[in-house]
Amino acid sequence: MENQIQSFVIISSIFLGFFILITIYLIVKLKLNDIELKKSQEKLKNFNETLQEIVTERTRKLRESEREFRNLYELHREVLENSPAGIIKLNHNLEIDYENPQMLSILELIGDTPLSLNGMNINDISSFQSLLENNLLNDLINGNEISHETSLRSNTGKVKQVIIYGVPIFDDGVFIGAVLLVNDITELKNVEDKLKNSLHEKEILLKEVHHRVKNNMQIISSILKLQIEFIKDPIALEMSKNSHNRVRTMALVHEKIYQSSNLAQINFNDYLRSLAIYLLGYYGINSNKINLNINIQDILVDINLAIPCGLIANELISNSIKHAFTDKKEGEISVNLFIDNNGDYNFIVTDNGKKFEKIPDFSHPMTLGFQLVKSLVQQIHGKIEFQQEDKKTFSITFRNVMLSTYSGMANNNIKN
Amino acid sequence: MDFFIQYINVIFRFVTFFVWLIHYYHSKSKIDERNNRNNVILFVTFNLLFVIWNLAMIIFNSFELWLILWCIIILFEYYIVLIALSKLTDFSFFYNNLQYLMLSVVSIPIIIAAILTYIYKNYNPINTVDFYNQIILEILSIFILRKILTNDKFSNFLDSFFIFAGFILYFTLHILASNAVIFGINTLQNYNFSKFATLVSLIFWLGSVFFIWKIRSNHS
Repeated sequence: MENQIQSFVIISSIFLGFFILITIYLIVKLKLNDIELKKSQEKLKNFNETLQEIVTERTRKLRESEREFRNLYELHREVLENSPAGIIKLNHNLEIDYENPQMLSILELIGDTPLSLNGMNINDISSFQSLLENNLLNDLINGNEISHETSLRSNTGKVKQVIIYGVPIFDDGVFIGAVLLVNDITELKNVEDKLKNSLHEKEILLKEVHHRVKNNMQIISSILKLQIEFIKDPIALEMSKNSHNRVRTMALVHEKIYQSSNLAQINFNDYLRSLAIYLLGYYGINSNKINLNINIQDILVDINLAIPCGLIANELISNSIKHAFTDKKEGEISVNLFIDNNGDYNFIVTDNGKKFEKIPDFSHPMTLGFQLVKSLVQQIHGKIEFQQEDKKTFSITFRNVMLSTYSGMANNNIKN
Repeated sequence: MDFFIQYINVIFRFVTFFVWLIHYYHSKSKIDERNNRNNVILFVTFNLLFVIWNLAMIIFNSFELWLILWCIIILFEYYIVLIALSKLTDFSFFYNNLQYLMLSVVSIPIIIAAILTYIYKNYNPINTVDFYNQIILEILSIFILRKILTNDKFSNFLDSFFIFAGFILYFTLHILASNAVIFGINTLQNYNFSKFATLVSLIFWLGSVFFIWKIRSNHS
C-alpha cells in the first residue's frame, strides 16, 4: 500500500515536473517571441527612420533640383524673352514650338491681342518663304547651319531687312528640330546705306580735291613753261626747267591718285613709268638712244611716301638724262624698286653713262638736286648710297612707314 | 521496484548530471554569453556534488559525512546564487572582493547548526537553518530570474533561465515540504515530501535540456 502511494506520488511528481516545465517553456517561448517582436519593431522603426531620412533627403534634393531647375528656367526665359533677336524653336516637322516676344515684334504680331505662331509650319508662313526658296530648310534638316540675309514682310506689310541664323538640333544623329535666330537689321541697313552714300560723296569730293590740286599744279607748271620761253640766262633756264619738272612730278601723283580706285595709295610701278616717259619726252630724248629699263614690283605706296619718292626719282632720272649721255649716243637708265627679305624698300637708279669726276658727297651736297635728294631721303627715314664702278648706282633704302604729311619736306628744305 | 522507488532521486540526479554535462560540451560553442556558460558549469558541479553525496551515503552511510556534505552543498548553493546575481547585476566589486566574506558569514549558522545537530541527536537545528536558507536562496533566485527576463539578451541566458527556474521550483517545493510548513500534517513522513520535491525539480531540469535544444534550434 505504501509502495503504491509512493509510486503514485512519483508519477504525480513526474507529471508535475513536466507540467511546470512545459509551462516555463511556453513562458520562454512567449518571451522569445516578445523579444523577436521587439527586435522586429526596432528594425521596423529603424527602417522607418532610415526610410524617413531617405525620403527627407530625397525630398530636399528634389526641392533643390526643382529650385535649380526653376532658376535655370527663369534664366532661360529671361534670356529668351529679353533677347534683342527674334528666336524660333522648330520641331522635327518644322512646326513652331516656341517664338519669343521679339520675334512677334519683328513680325508685328504684338498688339492688344497678341497672335502666336505656335503649331504653324514654317513653310506656311509667307515671311519665311525665302528660306524655302533658297532650299535652306533642307540644309538645316541635313545638319548644316545656315546664315541668310533677306527681307521679310511683317503683319502690317512693312518690309524689314533681317539676317536669319539657323542651327539644327540632332539627337543620336536624328534631326529633332532647329533654332532660328532672326536679327532685324533694317535700321543697320539704313545706316549702312547712309554711310555708303556718305563715303561715296567723300570719295568724289576727295577725287575732286586731287583733281583740282593737280589742275592747279598743272597751271603752275604751264605758267613756268611759259616763263621758261622768255628766260635767256642758261642757269636760270635750267633752274626753271627743274622746278617745272618738280611741280609736274607732284601733279602726276595727284593725277594718279584721282584716277585710282584707292584714294590713299597709288601703284608706284605705274606712276614711275609715267614719270620716266614724261621726263624722256620733256628732254626730247629718243627712246632708241637711251633705253629706260624700269623694273618695279607692283607696290601700292601711300601718297605721303609717293611724292618724296617721285621727287627723288625725278631728280636722279633727270640728272642721268641731262648729264650722263652728253658724249654717248646710246645708254641705259635702270630704275628698280623691290622689297628685300627684311621688308625694306630698295629704290635703285643706275645709268651706264659718263661718270662723275667728283663723287657726290650727300653729307655736303653741292647741287640743289642732290640737296633735295638728301632732304627727301631724310624725310622718308631712308639712307642713300652711291657707287661708281661700271655703272653709276644710287641706292636708297627705306621702310614703308606711314609718313605724316609731305609738308615736312618743305620744312626740311627751309632748315637746310 | 522498491529499489527504484528508494533510489529514484539518485538515479535522476545522476542522469541529470550526465545529461547537463553532455549538453555543456555539446553546446559549448553555441553559448556566446560567458556568464551563462559559467552558470551551466556551476550547475553541473552542483549536480556532481549531489551525486557524490548520494553515493557517499550509499557506500559509507555516515551521519558525520552526511553533515559535512550537507554544509558544502548548502554553501555551494549560496555560491552559485551569489555569483550569478553579482554577474547579472554587473556588481564586479562584490564578485572580486566580497563573495568569500559573504560566504564566510553565511557559513557560520550553517556550520553551527551542523555541529549542534551532531552533538544533540534529538535536536535538529539544520532543519530550521535549511528552511531559512531555502527562503533566502529562493528570493535571490527570483531576483536572478527577474534579471534574466529583463535582460536585452534573454536568448543568450536560456540555460541560466531554466537552471534558476528549476532552483525556484526546487526551493519552493522544499519550503512547502519542510517541517515548518507541514507541521501538524505529516511530521513523521516529511522526508518523503522533500524527496518528491527534489524529484519534481530534477524532472524539470532534465526535460529543460530538451527544450533548450529545441528553442535554440528554432532560433538559430
